Amino acid sequence: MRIIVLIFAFLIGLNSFSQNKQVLYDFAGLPQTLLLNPGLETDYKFHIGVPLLSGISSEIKSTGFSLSEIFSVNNNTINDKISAVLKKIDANDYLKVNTQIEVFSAGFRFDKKTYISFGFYQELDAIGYFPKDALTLINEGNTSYLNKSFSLSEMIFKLDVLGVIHAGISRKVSDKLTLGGRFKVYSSALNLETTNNSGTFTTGIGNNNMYIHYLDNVNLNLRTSGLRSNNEDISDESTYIDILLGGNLGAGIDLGFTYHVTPQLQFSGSLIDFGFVQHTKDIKNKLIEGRFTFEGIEFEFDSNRNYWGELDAALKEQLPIVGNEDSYTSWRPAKVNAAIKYSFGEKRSKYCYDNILKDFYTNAFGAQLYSVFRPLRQQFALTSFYEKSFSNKLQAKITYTIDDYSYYNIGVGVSAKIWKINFYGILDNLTKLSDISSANNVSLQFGFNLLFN
Amino acid sequence: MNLLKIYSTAIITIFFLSCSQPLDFEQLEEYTIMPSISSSLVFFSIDASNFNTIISGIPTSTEVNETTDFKLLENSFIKQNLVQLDFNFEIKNEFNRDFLLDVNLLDADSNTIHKVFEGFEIRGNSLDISAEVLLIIEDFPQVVNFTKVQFIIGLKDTITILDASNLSKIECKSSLVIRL
Repeated sequence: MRIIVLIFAFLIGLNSFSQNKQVLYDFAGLPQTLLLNPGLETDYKFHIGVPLLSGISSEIKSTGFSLSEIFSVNNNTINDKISAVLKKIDANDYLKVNTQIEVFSAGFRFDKKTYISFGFYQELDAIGYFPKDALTLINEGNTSYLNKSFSLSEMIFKLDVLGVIHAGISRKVSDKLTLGGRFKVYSSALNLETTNNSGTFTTGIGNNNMYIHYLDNVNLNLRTSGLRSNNEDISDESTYIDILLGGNLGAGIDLGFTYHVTPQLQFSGSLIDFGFVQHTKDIKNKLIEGRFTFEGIEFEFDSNRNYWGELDAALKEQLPIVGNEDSYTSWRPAKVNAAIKYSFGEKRSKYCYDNILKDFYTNAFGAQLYSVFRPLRQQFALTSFYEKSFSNKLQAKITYTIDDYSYYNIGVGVSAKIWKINFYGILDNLTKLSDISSANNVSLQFGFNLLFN
Repeated sequence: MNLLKIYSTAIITIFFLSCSQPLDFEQLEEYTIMPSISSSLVFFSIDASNFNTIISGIPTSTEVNETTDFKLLENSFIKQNLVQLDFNFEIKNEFNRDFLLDVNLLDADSNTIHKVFEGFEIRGNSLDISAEVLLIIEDFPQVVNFTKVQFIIGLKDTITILDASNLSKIECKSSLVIRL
């Protein structure tokens, strides 16, 4: 029964909720924190993550509007609600989806100063900015917008589905400093991206005819890999995913450190996913470049000209759609973490690896800064936290985060160890639990590990 | 295992205690985009020479005729969601003669399926003629099949040939508003 309940909880977390890894960062020495900073300190001799259940995270976040603004049941029509949202959002608003499932993870202490960890996880990462001008044009047309230049540069999205094999090392180089690094091999199953687009569409009053339409400085690109196989478009979606060494490979590194200014004051920081994928296989790209002006069809009577054919030919010549299979590089969204932590309260000792006694304080507070590099701009989150150790086997952390989605995001995490089994659970955006549909993000994480001293 | 049981129960309890106001995702089925797309259509400038075709030494032409494909409505989305077409015209006639204008919508086989204008009178020396024709698709469902536009412009008085030395012009501009 317990297993059924736990699996149910897992499915809820995977499908309905998102995560905030700022709660997980440097929390309770969990093995999963090494994926956020390989330079964090661990106390165990070796660990094994429960396959498929050691680290699960899923997030769906949006800025600019929430689900309830469109799908709530009230007297407004769906058209009115979508129009209101379209007026409200701007081109900096976005929808982000990220899911990670740790397939396996493990680690062992190489010597007293060195801990080695490795594993494999699958990740889906997608971000799409709302192209407000394009959405307005589709929704309302150009009739009410004479002389407005609809921007095509707002069309930005990126989707990655990939597997990541990684191995990392944390080494205590002095009593104060621990350094860490992790090498990653990315295997991309699917990549779709369009960035750095430009161009405008404008309808104005014409000289020779009533209107003149301009497509100016158009440069649109769509790069894809994984939509084709054996030089044919894939029609069966189940064959898309070829995550493990599928052919489009890349490499990346994580770097991190922990520095103890005093036994109670600690700085830590990390750079995560600094890497790229080189797409060389199953590529299908599209490029549209040029400019085109249309003022209408000018009649020369009794000429037998094929006006529409000429127009079509001119469009294809001046604004060609070119397809190619050129390889390209896709950069991973690098993340930066930085934290300051002050420990205080009762000083206790616990047995760590090889029965070494290690001191710890029962309380800590501090601040964390998180940033991720996204196509349009960097995104930031600032978190303050309080961490409490009820015993050497039970820790809790509460966080308050300000980010693009909320100015009052409160999260809580709990980690417990019973015998060799560690369980952790993290819940975020507690203030929105009374109405999840109006939240821009709500998150849950949990997992199981086996920790051995 | 008691603690594990407590924590897993606590997390699930939090989920069940969390609430959401009722959401109806099926509303999306009622969503209809209603764009209004303005497009230039045909324009031309014709002079007396267009009406002075000489056959066997005899000036015979009193009207001119031209047709073009217009395939925007071949798009299945537009065809299925078309609600109304607005045709707009601006005409300038510098001649001191009256003309008649026909504008026909033709199907792919060049059969006339709707006459936007039939014998629309362009009075002589009229420099600011404007006209608008609204076609509600519910009333003229056959219009969704138009793929060609035909303009026929001719002298109202077909007996009197236009003076070939006349430097005047007829200018016409047109546009189409596609309402979905």
